[in-house]
Amino acid sequence: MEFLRESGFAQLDWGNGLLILVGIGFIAVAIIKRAEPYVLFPMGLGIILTNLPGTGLTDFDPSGEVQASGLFGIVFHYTLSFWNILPPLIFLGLGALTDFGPIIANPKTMLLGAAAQLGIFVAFWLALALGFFTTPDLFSLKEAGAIGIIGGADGPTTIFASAKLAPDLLGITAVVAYSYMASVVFIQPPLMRLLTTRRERAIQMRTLREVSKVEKLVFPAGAMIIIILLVPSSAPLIAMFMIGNLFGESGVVPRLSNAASNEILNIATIFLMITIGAQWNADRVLALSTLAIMGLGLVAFSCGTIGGILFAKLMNLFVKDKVNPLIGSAGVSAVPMAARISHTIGQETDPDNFLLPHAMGPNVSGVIGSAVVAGVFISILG
Amino acid sequence: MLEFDLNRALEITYSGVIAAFIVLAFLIGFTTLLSRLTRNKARARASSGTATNETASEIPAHVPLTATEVADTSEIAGSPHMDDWKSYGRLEAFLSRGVRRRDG
Repeated sequence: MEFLRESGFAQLDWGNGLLILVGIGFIAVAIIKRAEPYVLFPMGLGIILTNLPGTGLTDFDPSGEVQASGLFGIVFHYTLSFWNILPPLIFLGLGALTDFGPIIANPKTMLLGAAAQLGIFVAFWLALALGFFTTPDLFSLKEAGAIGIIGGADGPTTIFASAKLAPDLLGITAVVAYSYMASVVFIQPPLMRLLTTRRERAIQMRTLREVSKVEKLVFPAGAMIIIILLVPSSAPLIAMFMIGNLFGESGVVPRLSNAASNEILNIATIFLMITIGAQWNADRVLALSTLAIMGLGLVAFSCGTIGGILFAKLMNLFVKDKVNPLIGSAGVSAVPMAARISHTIGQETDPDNFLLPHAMGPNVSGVIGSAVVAGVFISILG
Repeated sequence: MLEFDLNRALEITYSGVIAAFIVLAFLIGFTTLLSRLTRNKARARASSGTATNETASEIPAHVPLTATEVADTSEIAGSPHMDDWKSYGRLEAFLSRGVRRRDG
């Protein structure tokens, strides 16, 4: 009978049961809908495992013996909250897969990547305001910063900032960021149609020039130095992103480039997603703050979209070669979904309008912009 | 306490906004400079009859590149975090139809 009392069944409560169902739901969505399977599938497994009572999988006691700590607890501590190396490793792979050609060919679109960070600051202030007007101390300044970064629409950056600023919220902020990234196809189009006229959506942009190999090599190296000198705390993300890109563009280290974009990226994804899923413990997730973060994440994504579109319209007052405001929304990152949405909405108005290469400029700039803002948040709050 | 937090919140906001715009403005300047330097070099090569296909060339407005080139311009494929690019094949096929239709 002692055995039964100590079994997981005896300790299972309704919260664990509910979250196990959520985990199964994540897996089902990944398999049936094929929505973000590389995120939802391992995360769903992590959620299920962490809600099986008595396993100690997520326990970590720094003062105790390592063998006494749980598998996911150790991974979480060493790869996220303490050393925080998984997000930069993912940036290494993403850098190897990124082409800076559209940015180099039309650099002014980089400003859209900055403007679309508006969502970060709106969500940050709203998180603080929620605490002020509803439950006192709902979110601390650090937690508000971690929530705000969701508006950058960049999964690894959100995780990196959350792990530094508010490790307790990491599971939620990561899931909210990835969920809304997968949902930009529902969030952005109504706002894009609302904020632009048919005439603006029909603007055809000048075809991008070809970019030389020298430019593609010098840009990431120069950008890395400039960004890190300006915002040193963004170095872990920016340096790895640019190193990965230089591996790919150099053409002389294909094995390193392939390793970064395949093996390293995949291994980092496995540990990152399972570990984040394992943060979805019932005690932590079933709280008012979780609902608030979900709402704030939606506001952040929407405001980022609005910021990018309105800034593109503002730019059109001053530039000779008009910018299609639809590409402004791609500045929220969410690579490459946001760029593809700009292209698709543009083609609704004019099927001969090819906005995708143009939208990739603000899209990739958004990645840089959100990493820079995360760096500023960490340097001031961390 | 609140006033202290408010001050820090304001500091974070203006620092973040300024940093994002300054960094990207610096990059715009850097890229423009880089592009001018490489074009001058390319022109010099062209005038000495040693132009290579690395030259940055202007393409007339609204003349679409080939579908593959359009796709290559923003080539990011195969990443778990960018899985959506797997639908890129469909997009490429779509663009090819667009180009053919216009050519026809």
